[in-house]
Amino acid sequence: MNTPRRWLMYVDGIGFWAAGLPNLAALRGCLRGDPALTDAPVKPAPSMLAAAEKRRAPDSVLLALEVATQACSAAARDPRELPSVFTCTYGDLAITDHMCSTLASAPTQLSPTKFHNSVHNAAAGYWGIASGSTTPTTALSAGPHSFGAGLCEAAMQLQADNDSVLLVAYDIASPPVLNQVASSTALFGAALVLSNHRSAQSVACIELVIEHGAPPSSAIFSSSLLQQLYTSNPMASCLPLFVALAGAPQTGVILSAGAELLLRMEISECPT
Amino acid sequence: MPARINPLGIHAYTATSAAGEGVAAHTHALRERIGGLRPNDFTRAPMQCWIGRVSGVDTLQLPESLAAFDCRNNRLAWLGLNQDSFIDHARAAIERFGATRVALILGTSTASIGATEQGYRELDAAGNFPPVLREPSLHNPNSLVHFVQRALGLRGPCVTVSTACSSSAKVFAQAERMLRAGIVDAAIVGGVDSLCDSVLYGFGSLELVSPEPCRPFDAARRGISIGEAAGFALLQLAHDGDELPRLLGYGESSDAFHMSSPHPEGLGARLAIDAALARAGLAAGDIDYINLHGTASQKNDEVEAALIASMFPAHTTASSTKGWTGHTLGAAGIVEAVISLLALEHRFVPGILNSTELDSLCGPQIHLENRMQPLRHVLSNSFGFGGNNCVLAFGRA
Repeated sequence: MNTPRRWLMYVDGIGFWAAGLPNLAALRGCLRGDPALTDAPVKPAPSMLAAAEKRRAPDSVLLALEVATQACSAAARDPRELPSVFTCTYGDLAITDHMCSTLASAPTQLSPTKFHNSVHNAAAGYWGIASGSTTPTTALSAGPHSFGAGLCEAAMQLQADNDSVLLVAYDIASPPVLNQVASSTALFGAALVLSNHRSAQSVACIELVIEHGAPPSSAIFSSSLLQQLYTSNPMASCLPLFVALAGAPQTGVILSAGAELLLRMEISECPT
Repeated sequence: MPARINPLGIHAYTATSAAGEGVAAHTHALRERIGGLRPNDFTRAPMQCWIGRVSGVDTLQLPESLAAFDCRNNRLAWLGLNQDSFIDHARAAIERFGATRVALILGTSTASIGATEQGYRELDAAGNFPPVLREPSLHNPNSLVHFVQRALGLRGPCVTVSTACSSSAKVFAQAERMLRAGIVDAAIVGGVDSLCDSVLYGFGSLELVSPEPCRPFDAARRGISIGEAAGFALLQLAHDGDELPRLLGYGESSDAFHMSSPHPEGLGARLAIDAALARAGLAAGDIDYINLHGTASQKNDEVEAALIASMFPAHTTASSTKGWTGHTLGAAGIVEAVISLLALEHRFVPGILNSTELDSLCGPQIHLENRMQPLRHVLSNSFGFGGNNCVLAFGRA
């Protein structure tokens, strides 16, 4: 058996949004035991969209653009330089609910805007349009392993042609009818700007090994807010990674990227 | 520009669409100019359009072990997997390399949304789906991959690419990256999209659907005809001396322009073509045939015709085969990749079906009639909503 290959990636920017934890600073505060924010927004409001666009955009797009903007801004990177990988377990469940309800009752009344916003790559498309980025982008899904599958593709892009890549992961809450088949009760999004090279912006180094085996056991968080978030949204399976990146003492993280595919990561800080 | 890549060998490939089940049926339909479109008999409410319906799906029964995943999209996937012995080639690769060393990367835009639509039509008084539709894996974008993964017993990377109409072209790019990195030894790629109300009424709401069979690049074209299809290919790193057709390159890009309309100058499409040529180590003049996206929508064909005329010499030939299959959306990339491979294999260039008078924007490359000619390098264009573009380059060994 060959020694498994180790992939080295630098984290240059982190985006994070959950109800009550609207950015990385809030996540760090939560880990320090700070009291929950009382005036936190209930929905993300990405600055790159004009007010009218914010009102019209689906929640999935708001969420993805917010964390993508946070990550690029922290990395001091222009989105036009970065290829991107968007990953989402369920797509925009609110649009699915609206479309399927309309199709069941009055199919010819379907809204063209709802339809073009229903594509799984809607957030990726709006990101390119709003940022003016013509770089390649993709939109993935892999059931409960969607975050890991996205991170795996980002790692593959780094070793292939790209020096850096933006990874955006998000899922929204499920409307009542769909909740029976798509369990999600909260909005959650997270993003990373990953790079092959250490730079002044690098905050952490991830040493990744791709392995095969049974999925990791559930994580346990000291914060009840994080514990609740972890079980409320499928994409929050990535929380152990973001908690480690936020500076928690824990440095080893295992995430699933498939039914029997594991991403084993050692995380070290890049001292400034 | 990206660096040249080592080509991938294509060990097996298959397609199932309204034009036929399997590659021999497609070759026959293309050569004899027999299209697969028929008047819409799918929607419950009348909608005047033509569709590319795969007849075999309606009566197909999934094997007992997969019956829990029954839906139109998975039936079409099963029908497609069983053409051209593809499932045997896939199983042989899994046997040889191991179930953890074969990736599954499939593109879809519909997945099994048709099953979710049905659930909403048949909600009980408590607002629940009927019992037969309560399998959670039917109601998310990964349903197709989950189904094929179960059918083949795969245990490695299994992922869905869902970038609208470029989905099952981009799977080749993602597979190449995994193979190059060495995390797998083989990759099963492809895609399946099936007819459903979402796409028929959705494209209808955008006024993009033609009331007659689609006429790609015709001066009087009136829009798209929606079809369904399944297709698969088995990829490995190419080795010197093998006689297999090859994936030579790919290019991906974004328009950064509009959600449902292409960039007016084809900016993203041009970037994707340039990147595909760069990875293949080819110049535009090396391309013998281009299977165009050619949806027969006003805007796509206008932009693509002008782009091809400006980028390629007169000796490059180009056509859209959507008159045979309809626009199979998330499956268009793999169906047209297979048609490109058939062109290479049979030294045969399909023309365009249903069209009679080419738009004046078309250059000398785009042609209506079928041709026999030797081919070495072929491109396949796929452009999707959200301005998501992918171009593939194929060649002979």
